[in-house]
Amino acid sequence: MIHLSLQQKAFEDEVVLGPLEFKLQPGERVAILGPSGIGKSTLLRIIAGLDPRFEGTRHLQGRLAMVFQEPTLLPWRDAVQNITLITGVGVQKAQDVLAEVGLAGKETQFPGQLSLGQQRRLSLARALAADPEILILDEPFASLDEQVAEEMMALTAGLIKDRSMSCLLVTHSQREARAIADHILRLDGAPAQLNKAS
Amino acid sequence: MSNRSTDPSDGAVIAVRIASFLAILVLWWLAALRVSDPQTLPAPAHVAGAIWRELIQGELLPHLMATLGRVIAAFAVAMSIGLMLGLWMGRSRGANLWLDNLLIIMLNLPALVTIVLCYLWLGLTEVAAVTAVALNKIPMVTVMMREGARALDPRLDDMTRIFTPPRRVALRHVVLPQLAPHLASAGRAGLAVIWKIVLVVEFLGRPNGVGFQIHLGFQLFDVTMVLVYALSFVVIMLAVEALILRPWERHANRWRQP
Repeated sequence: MIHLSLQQKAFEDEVVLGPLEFKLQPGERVAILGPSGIGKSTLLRIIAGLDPRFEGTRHLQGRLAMVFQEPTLLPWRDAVQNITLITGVGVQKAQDVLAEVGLAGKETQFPGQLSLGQQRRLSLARALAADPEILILDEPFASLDEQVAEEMMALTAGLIKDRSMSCLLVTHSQREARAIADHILRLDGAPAQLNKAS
Repeated sequence: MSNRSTDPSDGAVIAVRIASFLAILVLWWLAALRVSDPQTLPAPAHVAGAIWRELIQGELLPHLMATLGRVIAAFAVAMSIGLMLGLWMGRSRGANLWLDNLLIIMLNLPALVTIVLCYLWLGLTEVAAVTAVALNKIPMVTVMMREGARALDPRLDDMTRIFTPPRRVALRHVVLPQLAPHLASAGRAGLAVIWKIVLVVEFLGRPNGVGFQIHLGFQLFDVTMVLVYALSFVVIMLAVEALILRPWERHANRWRQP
């Protein structure tokens, strides 16, 4: 469970976010929609605990994993090592989760030898291997061509439902939000605030 | 803009390297002919014969090994401490603020001052010799590692903060591979500087090693002996570069291959 009570987030003198409340209950799947530059990534970094410099409080209960906007892999380690070294799981579990995301046979490939779509799958596999109770997805289908994005969306939605974990998706695409989430929130205004999407 | 099709082949590169090496030998030989005094400038063949004699008589190897031992010890100490300090200063603004003045002082302190002070404070011992050499090298490694630490990918930092792998794993598999090019540069530059300082340390206060033998050659005005020991050690350092540093660099960079 995540509960964020944000009074404000400012860069120097400019307030960019807040006040706002955000709650993610166990098993809930929420998407935050908003145009580029509105502060989605800033809000996500606060929710994920990557940015502690804000006015307000944040409570987190449960194990958290994240799929970043960029795949954020270790280019000098192969696919299996990218999972085992970072999450601490064994080789067998890493191979299983790679198979789940459709990367069977790519275990010994380095990220630079994989396509962008495959790198994103590897990033998703790493997050799933951590066995999270809360999964955060930051624009995970950005820069993919339409067909690959569709495949990734269906795969991600299926894996999240199978594991009945909480999920927070941040995206600018309504289509992606609908595919993954039960509830959709919209981030807009200046400073940006969260509202229920119409 | 680079064009792979016009890059010289490996064979051509080796041929040029050999030709340039032979050109140096020819120049040396011509200069020796011109001087025509083996006591001032012996010819390459004369020096090669002297190297062989020293090797056969068993004099050369113990001195080379003594110097190599000091180089390895000072290199290991300087790289370890420089890596830790550089990482700390690159990642922590406070540490950088506190240590920057000391770093600048150490960078500008002449090697001779450090060597003399170490011998005065610690005596004419092996510990003093290695400490003096390491102290001369640590600031340079620290500066290079600090620059590397400042260039670490913040996205990988975020990733390790989310997945929280053990610190040892994060250091070895996330941080150090990013520092590998800086480590390789510091290692290569370090080796070249260290062995030259080791010779000075031996010249001033050790009873063996290449620097000690060069001191002996200097006292006897024996140019051949100076060249025998200096060139022998150059060959060893070139071998270390070719057989250890380059293969390590290739191994560390194998993930860059398509």
